[in-house]
Amino acid sequence: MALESFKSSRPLSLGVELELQILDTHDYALTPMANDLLYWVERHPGHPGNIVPEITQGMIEISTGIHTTHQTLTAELGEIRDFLCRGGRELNLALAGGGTHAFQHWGETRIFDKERFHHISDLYGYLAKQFTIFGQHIHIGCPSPDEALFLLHSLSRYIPHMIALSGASPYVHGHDTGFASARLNSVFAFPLSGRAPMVASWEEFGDYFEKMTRTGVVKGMKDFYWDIRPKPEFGTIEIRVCDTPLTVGHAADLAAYLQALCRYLMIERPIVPVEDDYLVYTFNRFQACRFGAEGVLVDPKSGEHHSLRDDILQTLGRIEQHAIELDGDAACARIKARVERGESDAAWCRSRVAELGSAAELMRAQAIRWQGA
Amino acid sequence: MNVPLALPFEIDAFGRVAVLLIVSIAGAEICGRWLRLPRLIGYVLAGLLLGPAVLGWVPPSITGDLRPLLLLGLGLLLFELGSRVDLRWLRHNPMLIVSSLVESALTFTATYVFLGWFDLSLGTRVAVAAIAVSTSPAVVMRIVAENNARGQLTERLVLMTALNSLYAILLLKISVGVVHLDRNAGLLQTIGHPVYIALGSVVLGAAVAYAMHLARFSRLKRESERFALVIAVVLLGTTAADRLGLSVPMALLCGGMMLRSMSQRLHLFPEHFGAAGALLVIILFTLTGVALDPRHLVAGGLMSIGLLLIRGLAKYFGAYVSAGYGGLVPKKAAWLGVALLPMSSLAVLQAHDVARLYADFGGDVLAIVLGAVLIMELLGPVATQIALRRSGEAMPGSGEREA
Repeated sequence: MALESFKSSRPLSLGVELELQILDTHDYALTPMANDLLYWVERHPGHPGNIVPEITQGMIEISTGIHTTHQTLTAELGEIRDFLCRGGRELNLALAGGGTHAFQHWGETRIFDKERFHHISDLYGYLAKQFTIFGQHIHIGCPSPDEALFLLHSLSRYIPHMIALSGASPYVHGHDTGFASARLNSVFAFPLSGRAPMVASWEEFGDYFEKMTRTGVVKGMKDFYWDIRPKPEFGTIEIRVCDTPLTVGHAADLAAYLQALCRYLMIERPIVPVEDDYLVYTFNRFQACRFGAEGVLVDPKSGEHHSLRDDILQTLGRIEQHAIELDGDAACARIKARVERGESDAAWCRSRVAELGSAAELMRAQAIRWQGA
Repeated sequence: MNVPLALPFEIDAFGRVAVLLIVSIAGAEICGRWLRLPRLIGYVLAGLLLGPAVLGWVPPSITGDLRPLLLLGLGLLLFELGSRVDLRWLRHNPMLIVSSLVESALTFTATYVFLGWFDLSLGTRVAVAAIAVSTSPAVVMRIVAENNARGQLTERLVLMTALNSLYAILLLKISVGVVHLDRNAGLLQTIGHPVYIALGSVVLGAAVAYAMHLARFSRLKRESERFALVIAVVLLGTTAADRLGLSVPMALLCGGMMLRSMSQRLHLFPEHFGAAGALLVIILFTLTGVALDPRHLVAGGLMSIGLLLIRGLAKYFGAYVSAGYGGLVPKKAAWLGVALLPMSSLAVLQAHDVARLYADFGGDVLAIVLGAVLIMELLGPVATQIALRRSGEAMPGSGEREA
């Protein structure tokens, strides 16, 4: 199968996908009510956003249309959330953000009845069930495929930022993992996870894709579980490392930060991506997963170690003008304030458990938080 | 040498209870593992087999001796059922109340009309129809737990079971009272008595819930202590309801519901009530089996079988039609009526209450209800289990933690 052509899209346009947890309001375990909720959605035509099933019955995915500014994105995410929360109240289920369910055991999840999901489940075994994790995917519009590949590789240095800023999965199977984002550990277990190959043109990428399909290992772009991957049919690149935040407001802020960062990279072109950028990629990524903004970031060229927090704050300074141009400065200011104060979704989860005493109470708190801004 | 052992030796009550339990467990294994039937059917069959009806190895007096344990087991399940009902759900989706009223009203009317074909007193018809409204809370809670069922059908099954049990209790008190208006002291007492029971049970339920709240149940960490507290509170509620002449099942159901509304914190009961709770549940179903008697079927005869058919049809169509409006996936709505079929301990308790209060027609009520329960005790759990599995909400094998 040949790689499809890359559809051009409006540069820096935004789209967001969020995977959400469906919870039982009795004990706040994941509950297999995706098809019940989707049936409710079906009966309310003209609803905002796009709402589709995900691999297990305890999750549901929402996605927005295409946006150019943070404001309209925030508004649409809010509408989708309000709509789904209304459905949840009518069906006696709760929705929540966060990258993992705090106490669900993978053995208790059920695969959503759809051919592709059964295929994945057969192929990957328990990995597929362990894939009951909840991420935010952000699409950034690119005018051309080569521009998309440039942006994809330039962004690799900033992947730890996105992980640290979104980390919202400290608990797995009822225990504190010590990670800010334990969710990504489940992603890394997949054989085709990681990063895209270092190629600069869509033609070269097409060659790579063809070689890979010839091996029979992949059939389409969907089989790559990369941190960033091009999405030719949308004309976008898709950043897939973020945990679903605890609120839609923060999800929109993350998108605004990424958008400003991309504008900075596209216009100022501060880096020419090279293979050596990836020398410390997995190390940096691990640091962000494990420690969040408290982690270190290693510069592959100079070998210097910085604190991730300082690097984010410096970057926020550098991209400020771009954020203003995009009308996303308020969002970036909120992100800055959070980083300066040392706040994060992961830290919030830990404080809830400390105060309320159990992982189940944490999930209840997450569900309440999701309903708000 | 003098061996202090006389053969054949007399097996005392403890020994008989022990054998009853062992046979129950074996029955559950055979049902659950080999026949893929609900395990609780094994408990019931063991009771039936060893009970006076078949082998007569367990004396009928055992049901009396162990009655407090039976009531405690039923009380626990009722209290847990109540605690799973979130009254706010009814506010957000008022169709649920409509749906539940339609299902119950249809069941009551259909069975009442059906019984009109037989030569029965008005009191009997009303009482049996009222009892037919309720779905067995004990069976539903156990089958849901055994199958680790979750989903919209399960949610509605739990809610509608709680609601129709409440309706049945009230309906029985009101209707039988009204029918016997002439015999009682007067209108005031006839109307006043059900109102007293309803309000009293709600108030007592609130007190029971408040006791749990005061004891900071939601913050207790140790499962053993959580369980002990639930037992204490259920015992308290049972005793108080008994002394005040209120309905024990109603007080405990209301208590559970109040607990849920009183505080937003989670009130999770120990999973399957822990080991001690499991024992109570086994005793509850085994004793139900001991009390079963095939002769009831002869006495109830065609009436019992007809009653079950009519009741089943009414529940099925009532639930199917109304659940569709309430937003349940059609495929699941079709199974809801089936899942609601079980009829068990609560019905037996109610029938005995009627028999005690109204000697003139209580015997007829007992015969019809016990005949129906005998069949439903075996078919009901299977119906609910099939409904949960076919609708894709059961996850068998991971319910109760297995060694």
